[in-house]
Amino acid sequence: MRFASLKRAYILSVVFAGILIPVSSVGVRILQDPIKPWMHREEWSDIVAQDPYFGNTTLIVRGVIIDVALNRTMFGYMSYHTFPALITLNLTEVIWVDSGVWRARNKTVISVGYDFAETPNVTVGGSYEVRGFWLSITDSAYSYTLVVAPSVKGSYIKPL
Amino acid sequence: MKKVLLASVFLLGLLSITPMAQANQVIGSGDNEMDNVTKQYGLAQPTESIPKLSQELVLDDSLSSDEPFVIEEYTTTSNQTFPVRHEEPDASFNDANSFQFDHSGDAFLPDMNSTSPERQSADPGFTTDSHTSEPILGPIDHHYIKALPYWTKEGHWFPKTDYSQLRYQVNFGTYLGVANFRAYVKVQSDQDTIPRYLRFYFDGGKVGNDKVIYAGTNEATFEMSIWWGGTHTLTVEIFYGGYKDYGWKLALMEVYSPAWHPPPRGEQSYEDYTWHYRRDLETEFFRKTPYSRLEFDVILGPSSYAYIKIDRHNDEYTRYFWIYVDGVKKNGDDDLTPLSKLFYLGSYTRGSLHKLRLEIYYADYKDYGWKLDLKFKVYYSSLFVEVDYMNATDHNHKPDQVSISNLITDYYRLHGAQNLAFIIDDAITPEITSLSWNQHESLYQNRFDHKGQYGWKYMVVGHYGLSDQIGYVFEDPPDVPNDTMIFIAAQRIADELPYYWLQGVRYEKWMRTVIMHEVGHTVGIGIWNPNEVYCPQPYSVMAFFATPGSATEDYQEYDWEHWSLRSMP
Repeated sequence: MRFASLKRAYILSVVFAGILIPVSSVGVRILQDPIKPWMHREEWSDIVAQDPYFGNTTLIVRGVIIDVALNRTMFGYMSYHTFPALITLNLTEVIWVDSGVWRARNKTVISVGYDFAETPNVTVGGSYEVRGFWLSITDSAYSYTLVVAPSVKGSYIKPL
Repeated sequence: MKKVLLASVFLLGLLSITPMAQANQVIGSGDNEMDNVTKQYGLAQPTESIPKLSQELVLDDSLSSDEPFVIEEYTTTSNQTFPVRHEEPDASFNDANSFQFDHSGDAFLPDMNSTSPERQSADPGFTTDSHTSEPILGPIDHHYIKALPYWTKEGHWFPKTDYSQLRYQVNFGTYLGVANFRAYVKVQSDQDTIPRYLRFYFDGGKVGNDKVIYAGTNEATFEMSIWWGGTHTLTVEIFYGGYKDYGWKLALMEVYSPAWHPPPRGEQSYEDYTWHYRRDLETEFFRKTPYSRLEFDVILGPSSYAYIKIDRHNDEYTRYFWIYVDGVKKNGDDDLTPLSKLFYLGSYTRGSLHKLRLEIYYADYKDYGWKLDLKFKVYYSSLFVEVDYMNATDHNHKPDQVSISNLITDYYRLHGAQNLAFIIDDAITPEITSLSWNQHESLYQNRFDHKGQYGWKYMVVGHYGLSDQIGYVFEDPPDVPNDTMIFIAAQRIADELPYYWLQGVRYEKWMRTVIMHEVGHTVGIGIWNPNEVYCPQPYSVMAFFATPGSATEDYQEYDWEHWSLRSMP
C-alpha cells in the first residue's frame, strides 16, 4: 500500500514535470519577446522604434521641401514605424557628413523622417536645414531616411 | 497500463518542447545577449575595433566552394584593377560592353514591359493579336509570381523539318475530376520570314485551332481540360518548318491555371495561392532521327559550364552524346546516354551569345527514346560571395553548404546565365556577439580578401548586428563598392525561430531566405521609394517576413519582378 502511494506520487510528479516544464518554457519564451506569435504584422508597430539606437547626428543638409506626408508608415523586414511626418527634400547642399555613414551616391532627393509628436512647422517650397541621423543599411524601417527625432541629439529642421 | 500512459504523456511533453529547444540551440548558447551595444548602432565610437588579426584569426582556408577551380581561373584571368563600383564598369574592362546582357532572358517576359493599350485595359488577362485583332487570352501579370526557370535559355530553336516540333513532358499533379490549364507560347522568327502555322498538341491530340504566326514575335494561348492530372506530353509545332535553319525559336512557354487572378497592383496583398499556380516543364524529348538535336541560344562568359541530365524513356540501348558550342564539339566520344554530367564549355566574352547544341546518336530507333531534364543549366562565372563567419568555443555561425549555400547557387544557375558562388572563407574568432558600425567597417577593411575585385561581395555571418535586424546590406560603406557588404545575424534568426516553428519556419529555410534577399540587394534587386518596397507576395524572398511565406518553403525563390531587376557582374 505504501509502495503504491509512493509510486502514485512519483508518477504524478513525472506527469506534472512532463506537462508543466514544456508549457512553462514556451510561455516564458513567448512573454520575453515583444513580438508575440499571434500578432499580426500591423501590431508590431513601433516595437523596433523604441530601441534607443538613434543617438548621433550623422548628417546635416539643406534643401527645398517638395512634399510633406503625414503619418507615413515605413517598413523593414520584420518591423515598421509610422513617422508623424515624412518630408521629401530636394537637396541643395550637404553641410556636414559623419565619417563612415553618408556616402554621396548622387542623391538629389532624400526623405526626412520627422519623429517628434507635434506636426512640423514647414511649408512645401520652403528652404530648410535638416540635422539628423542617416541610416545607410537596408531592411530597417529607418533605412535611407534622415531621422529627426527626440532621440537624435541636436536634430532639427529649421527654415533658412 | 497506466505507467505506459503516463510515460507517453511525459514523452509527448518532451517531444513538444524539443524542437523549440533545438531551434534555439541551432547555433547559439541560448543566452540572449542583448546588451546596450546590440541595441545601438555604435556610430562614431573610434575606441571600438575588432581584435588584431594575428591574435584572433583562425583561417579556414579550404575555400569550400563546390567548384574551386572556377574561382582560380576567374581570378587569374581577371584584371585586378577592376573598378571599385561594379555598377559602373570602367571602359578599360575588356568585355564591359557585354553588360547589355545583364538581364538574361528578360527580353522574353510575356508582358511586363508592354505598354500596349490592350495591356492597359480593365481586364489585364486580355490582349489582341496584332495581326488578326483576335483576342488572346493569357498575358500574365508577372509582378507577383515566381520567376520562370530559364529553360528556353535565350531561345530554343525549332528543328528544320516539315512538321517542326518541340515536345515537353509536364506533370499536372493528382486531383479529382477535371481541371483547366492554359499554355502560353511565345515564338519568334529569325531566318524564316514567311507566315506559318503554329499548332499545339496534348498527348498527340490537337488543341484549339491553328494560329498563324508572322515574322517577328508571336504570342498564343491554348486551353486544355485535363482529367485526374498525371503526366502528359505537350507539343508545339510549326508548319511548314523545313524552309531554313534557325527559322523560328521558342522564346517562352508557360503552363498554368487560368483560374488564377493577380491581386491589384500596388496593394499589400497576401494572395498566397498565386505562387503555386504554374506547372513546370519537366523534360523535353529528343526527336526520332539519327542525329537528334536540341539547340539553344545561350549566354556564355568566363568559365562557362553546362550541367546536362538525359534520361532514358523508350530506348533501351546506350547512345553517344555530344555537346557543341557554335558548332565546335566540347566533349569526347565517351559520353553515353543516360547521363548526368557537368561539361566545361570554355571561356568566352562575358555575356556573349552562342549556340549550344545537344546531340544524341543514334536516335532513330524509337520515338520518345530520350529526354532532357529541363533543370539543365548553362552558366558562366559571375558573382562571388566571400563568407566569413563568427566562431566561438561552443558554437559557430558557419553556413552549411549543403542545406544553405548550394541551394541558393542552384537557384541562380537555374534561373539565369550567371553563376553565384559562395566561398566559405575565414572563421572570425573570438566571436563579436554584437557588431557595432565601426566593427563592420573594420571587418570589411581587414578581412575581405577580395576587396576591390570585380564581381566579389563580402558576407559576414555573425551573432547579432545592428539593432535587432536579421540581415542587411550596407548601401554605401566607406571607400568600397556600393552594396558590397552583407551581414546576417544568425543568432537573431535562431532566437526568433521558436515562435514560428509550428508555422513551418526552419533555420535553414529562413537563412536561405535572408541570404537570398540580401545577396539580391547587392546586385540591384530591390525597389525603393524611398524605403524598400517589399514584395506583397510573401513567398518571394523579397517580401517582408510572413508565415506562410518564403521561410516556410523548401526551395526559396524570387518573384519575377524583383528577379528581372538584377544586374549581375
